[in-house]
Amino acid sequence: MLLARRVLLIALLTLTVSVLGLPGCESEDTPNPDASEAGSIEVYCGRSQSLVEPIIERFEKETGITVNVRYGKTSQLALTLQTEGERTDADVFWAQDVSSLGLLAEADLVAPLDEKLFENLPAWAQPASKKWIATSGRARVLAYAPSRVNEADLPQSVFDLTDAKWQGRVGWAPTNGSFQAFVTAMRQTHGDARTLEWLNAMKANGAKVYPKNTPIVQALADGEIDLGIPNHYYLLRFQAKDPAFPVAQAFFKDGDVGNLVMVAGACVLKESKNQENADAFIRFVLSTESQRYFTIGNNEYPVVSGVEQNEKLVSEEALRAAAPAVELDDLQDLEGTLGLLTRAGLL
Amino acid sequence: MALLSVQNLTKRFHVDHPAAVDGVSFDVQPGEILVLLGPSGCGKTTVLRMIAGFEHADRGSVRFDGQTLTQAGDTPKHVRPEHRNIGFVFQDYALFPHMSVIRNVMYGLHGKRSDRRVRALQALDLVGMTDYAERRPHELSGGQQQRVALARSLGPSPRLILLDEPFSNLDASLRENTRQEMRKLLHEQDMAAILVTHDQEEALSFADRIAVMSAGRIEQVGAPRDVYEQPTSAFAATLLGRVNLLQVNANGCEADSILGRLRLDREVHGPITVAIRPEHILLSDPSEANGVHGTVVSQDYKGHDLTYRIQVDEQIVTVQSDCRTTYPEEASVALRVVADAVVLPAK
Amino acid sequence: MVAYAFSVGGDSDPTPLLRGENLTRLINTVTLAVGVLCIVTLLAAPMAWLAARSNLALRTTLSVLAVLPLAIPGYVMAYALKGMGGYGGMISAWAGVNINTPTGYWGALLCLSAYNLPYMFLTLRAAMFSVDPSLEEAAFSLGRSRLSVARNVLLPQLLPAFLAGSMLVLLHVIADFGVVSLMRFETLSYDVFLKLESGHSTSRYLASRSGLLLMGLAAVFIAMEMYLLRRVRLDRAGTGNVRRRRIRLSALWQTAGFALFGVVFLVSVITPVTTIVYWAWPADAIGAAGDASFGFESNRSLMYGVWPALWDSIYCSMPAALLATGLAIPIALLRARYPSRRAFVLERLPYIGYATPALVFALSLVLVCLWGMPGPLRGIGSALYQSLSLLVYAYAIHFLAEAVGPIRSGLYLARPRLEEASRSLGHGRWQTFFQITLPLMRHGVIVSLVLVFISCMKELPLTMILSPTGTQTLAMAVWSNTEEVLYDRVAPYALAIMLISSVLVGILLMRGRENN
Repeated sequence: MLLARRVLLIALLTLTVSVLGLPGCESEDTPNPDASEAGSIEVYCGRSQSLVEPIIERFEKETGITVNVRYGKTSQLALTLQTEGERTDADVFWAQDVSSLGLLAEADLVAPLDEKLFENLPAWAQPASKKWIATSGRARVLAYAPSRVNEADLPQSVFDLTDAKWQGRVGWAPTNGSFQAFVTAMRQTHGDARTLEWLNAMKANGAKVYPKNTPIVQALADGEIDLGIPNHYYLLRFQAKDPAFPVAQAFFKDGDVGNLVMVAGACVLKESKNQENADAFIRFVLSTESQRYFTIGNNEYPVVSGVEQNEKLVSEEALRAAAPAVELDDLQDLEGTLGLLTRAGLL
Repeated sequence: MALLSVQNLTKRFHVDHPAAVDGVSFDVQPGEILVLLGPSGCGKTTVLRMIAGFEHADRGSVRFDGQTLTQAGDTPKHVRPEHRNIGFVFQDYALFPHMSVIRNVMYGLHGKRSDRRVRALQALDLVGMTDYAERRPHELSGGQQQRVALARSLGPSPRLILLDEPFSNLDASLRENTRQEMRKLLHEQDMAAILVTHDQEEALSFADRIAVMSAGRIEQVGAPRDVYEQPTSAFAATLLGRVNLLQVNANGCEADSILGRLRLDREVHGPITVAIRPEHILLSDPSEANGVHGTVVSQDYKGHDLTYRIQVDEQIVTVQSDCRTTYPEEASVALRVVADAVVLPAK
Repeated sequence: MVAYAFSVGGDSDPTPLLRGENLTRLINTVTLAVGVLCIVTLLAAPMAWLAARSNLALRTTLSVLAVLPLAIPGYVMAYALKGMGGYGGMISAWAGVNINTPTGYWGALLCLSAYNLPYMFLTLRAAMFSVDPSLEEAAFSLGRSRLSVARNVLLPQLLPAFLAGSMLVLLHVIADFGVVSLMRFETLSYDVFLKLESGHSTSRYLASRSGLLLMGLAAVFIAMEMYLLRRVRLDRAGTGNVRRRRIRLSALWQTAGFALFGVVFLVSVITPVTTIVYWAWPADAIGAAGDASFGFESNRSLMYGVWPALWDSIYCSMPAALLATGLAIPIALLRARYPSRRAFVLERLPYIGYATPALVFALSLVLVCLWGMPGPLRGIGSALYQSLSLLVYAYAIHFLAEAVGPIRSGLYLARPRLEEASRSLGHGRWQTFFQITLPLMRHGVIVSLVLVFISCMKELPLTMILSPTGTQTLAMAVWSNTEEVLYDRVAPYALAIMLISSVLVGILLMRGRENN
C-alpha cells in the first residue's frame, strides 16, 4: 500500500512543481539573444505572420535591431497585455483593429508617440488622441457576383440589404473584428436603436453567417450568396491568383456607413525599456518602402503620401469621398457593440 | 530447538466470515519436511503466506531461527517478506518472463555479478538445468520451469523453503519422479521445508511429518505412517485415503459390527465410530472361508490392484485387493477383517 | 463554471438559460449527435458482422482499412470536404463543374460519421468476436430460426459494447469543435469557442451558459448509458479465440460486402487524402509577400511553415504524454493491487475528464484562472492563464483515460505473484517495482505514451483556447488556414498530422505483434 501511495505522491508533486514552475516558459517563435549591440525589441503582433515577416526581416537587416515577435489574435494579445500590466516585456503592440488600441490607451499602458509621425497621415487615418498611430488602411465594401447581380441593381446603402429581394442572398460575418468595428461606426452615425433594428432585419432576411471575410468571398464564387460585406483586399487576393474569379466589388453611395474606412495600427508600451528602438520600428513601418509593400503587396491603403499607387485600388480622393464621417477614436467602444450584437442574438 | 515455531496463528479476511486460519500451531525442526494437507479452502496456503510474510496475522506469532517474524497483539511486529530469508516456490512458479533462466536465479543473490553467476549455476546444477541457463521461461516445459523455480529459491541458501502445491501443474507421470528428486535434494541440502497440498499420496510420500488441516484448524500432526494408521478423527481418516467408517457398540477391546467381531486398538465402551482401511479386509470364496457375506456391487480395476465396493447388510464396504483372484459383479464373497479397527474419538 | 454562469450577470439581461439561440444550438447539437450515431451504427454493424462472423475474403485487410480514418482528424476531413468543391476546388479543377460540397448540418454529419465509424466498428467487432457461440448453438438446437436467434441471443450480448461505442460517439460529436466550426453549423461547442475567442468578459459569461448546457447534455447521455447498462449482466465466457463456424457468403453477398467496405474507405480515406494531395501539389509559395519585385524577398516554400508548427505540436504534446502516463501508472497500480472503494473512485475519475467536452473543460480552466482564484492566489491564476503548463495539464487530464487503459493491460503481465516472488528473494518494494513491475509494463507504458501524444497532436479546441499566445500547432494551422480559405496552405500541415499518426500507430502495431 505504501508503495503505490508514494508513487502517487511523487506524481502529484511533479504535477504541482510543473504547474507552478513552468508559467514562465512559453514558446517563442524566435530565439531571444540580447547579443546584438543595437538592442532588441519585443513586438506583440495581431497581424498575420506571413504578411508581417518580410517587414520584420527588412527592419532587422537595416537597423541591426533584433525583433522578437509574438503572434496572436489582436483581442487576445490586448487582454494579455492588460493582464501582464507592468510586468510586460512587450515594446510594441501592432493591432489589426482600433478598439484594442483604444483599450490599452484607456488603461494607460501606452507611451506617447512622436508628434512628427502624425504629420503625413491622411484625414481618415488620424486618431485624435495621438496615443497610437495607423499603419495601413482598409475599407468596407460591397462584394457581389456579377453573373447573378447587375451593377445597376446594387443596393446604394448598407441599409438596403434588408430588402425582400435580397432574402437569403446576403452573407456577413458578425464575429469578425472588422464587422464589429463597422457596427460601432453605425452606432455612432445612426444610434443604437436604428443599428439594432438593422441587425434584426438582416437576420430576419436570412443573411448567411460566415466566420470570417475570406469565406464570404469564396461563397460568392461558389454561388452560395450573391452579396457580401467584407473588407476590400480579400477579393484582390483571390483575383491575384485567378484573374477570372467571378466576384466583383464596389462601394455603397458616397458617405454611406457601409464604406467605413478603418486602419490597422500600432503603439509603444509605456513599460517598454527600449523606447528608442520601438520608435524606430514604428517609423520603419510608416516608411515609404514599407507602405509600398503594404499597398502593392497586400492591397491595403497606405497612410503615408508619396507612395506608389496600386491600380487595383481606388484613388485616395475616391476613398475619401466614399468614406462616412466617422472619427477613428469613435470606433473604440467595442463592449457596447458586443452587447448590441448579443441582444440581436448574433453572438 | 525448533527452526520454525508457529503459535496460535489466526487470520480473518472478512469480519462476518469464519476465520480462514484459526489458532494454528506447529513446529518445524531443522532439515525436516512438514506437509500441510487439507482440502481446498482449508487455509493451508494462507498459513504458508503468513509464514512468508505476504499476509498479516490477526493473532499469534511466527518465530524463525530465533527471531520473531510476526507477532500480533499489543506490540505488533511484522518483518517484511524481503527480510525473512525464507524461500518460496509458487504454484505457477512465478518465473520472471523478461529474464533468462540464469538471471532469474541470479536475481535472488547478492554480491558481485560474477559471484552471483557462479552461485546461480551451482543452484541450477542441483536441479539439473544448467543447459537451459540462457533460455527464457516461456521456452521451458512445466517441469523444467518448476525446477528453475526451485533453484531460484535455493540460490540464497535459506534454511526454510515454502512450497505451494508445486506439483499440481505437472503431468501425472512426472509427479512421482519429481517428488523423489526434490525430497532427496532437500535432505541433501539439509533444508527444512513446508509443503502445502491436497493430494494425500503426495503428502504421504513426501513428508517427514504431516499436519492435517480442516477449516482453518490443525486436526492432527504426526509421521505419515502414524497419521495414516492412527487417524484421530473421521476427517483425518478420510483425507488420507479410502477408509470404511463403521458405527459399532464397543465392549472393552471388542465390538460387533456388520463385518463380524472386530478387535479394537484400545479399550473403550459404548457406541463409537471405528475406521478400517480397505486393505485390511480379505476377500474369499464364501464356500471356502468363514466370515461375513456380502455382494460385490462394483469393481474398479486399476492395473496394480482392484478396489471393490461390496454390499454388506445395508452398508457399502470398500475393499482393496490384489488381482490374483477376481470376483465379478453380483458375486457373493466372504469378508474378514485382519487388523485392529481404529477407534475414532468422539467429536 | 456553474458559479460564474449564475453569479456574474450584472447588466446583462437575466434571460433564461434556454433562450432562443441557445435552444436552437442545443437542438442542433442533439440532432447532429443522434444523426451521426444512426449513420455510424447502420454502417458499422454490418461491417463488424462481416469482419467477425462471416467468411468475407480479405476481411483482416478490410478491417485495417476500416480503421484507417482514425489517422484523419475530423477537421482535416472537413477541410478536405470544403477543398473538394466550390469554385476553385478539386472537383471544379478536374471536372470543370462547380459543385458545392455539403456544408452545415449535412457536411458536419458526413465528416463526423466518417471520423467516428472506426470507433463503433472496432467496438462491435471485438464484441462479436467474444460472443459465446454455445448460446447460439443451444438456441439453434432448440429449433429457433436464424433471425430469431440473432434478435434474442446475439443482440442482447452485443448491447453493452454497443452502448459503450455509442457513448463514445455521442460524446465525441457534442464535444467536437473543428468540424462544426468549419462546416459553419451552430452547435453549443462552437458557440462556447466563439465566445471565448473574443476575449471579452461579457462573452465569457455567455460562453459559460452554453458550456453549462453542453455539460448537462453530456451528463444526460452518460446517465442514460448507465441506466441502460444497469440491467445488463456482463457474463463473459472465457477469453476469445473460440473456434466457430463462420457464415459462408454467396458470391453476391461477398461482392456486396466488399462494396460496403470499399465505399466507406473511398469516402472516408481516399477522398480526403486525394483532396489534400491535390492542394499540396502546386508547391510554389502563395502569399501576400511572395513577390520579389518589392524588394521584400520571401522565398519560403510552403513546407517552411510546417517545421515550427511541428515543433509547437511536439513541444505541447510530449510533456502532456509524459504527465498523463506518469499519473496513469499509480492509478492503475492502486486499482490492480489494492482494490478498495477509494481506488475504484480514483480509477473512474479520468473518465470524467475524458467525457467532459473539451471546450467546456477549457472554459472552466479559463474561468478558474481569471476569475475563480481566491485573493492571494490571483497572481498565480493570471500567470497560469495561457501558459504552457496549463495546456499540458489540460491535455494530461483530458486524455488520462486513454493512458490508463494500456497501462492496466500491461499490468496483467506484471502479476502480483511475480512481485511476491521478488520479495521472497530479498528485494524490497521499490526494487521490485523498478526491476520487475515496470519492465514488464514497458509495452503498456509505451502504448500509453504514443496514444496520448497522438491525441494531443490532433487536439484542437483545448489548444486554441489554452495555448500560449503565438503558439501554432499543426492542428491549429490546419484549422485557421481552412477558415481563411487558404486551402493550399493547409495541405502540408494536414499531411504532416496524418503521416505522424499513421507512422506512430504503425510502430505500435508492429511492436504489438512482436511482443504478441
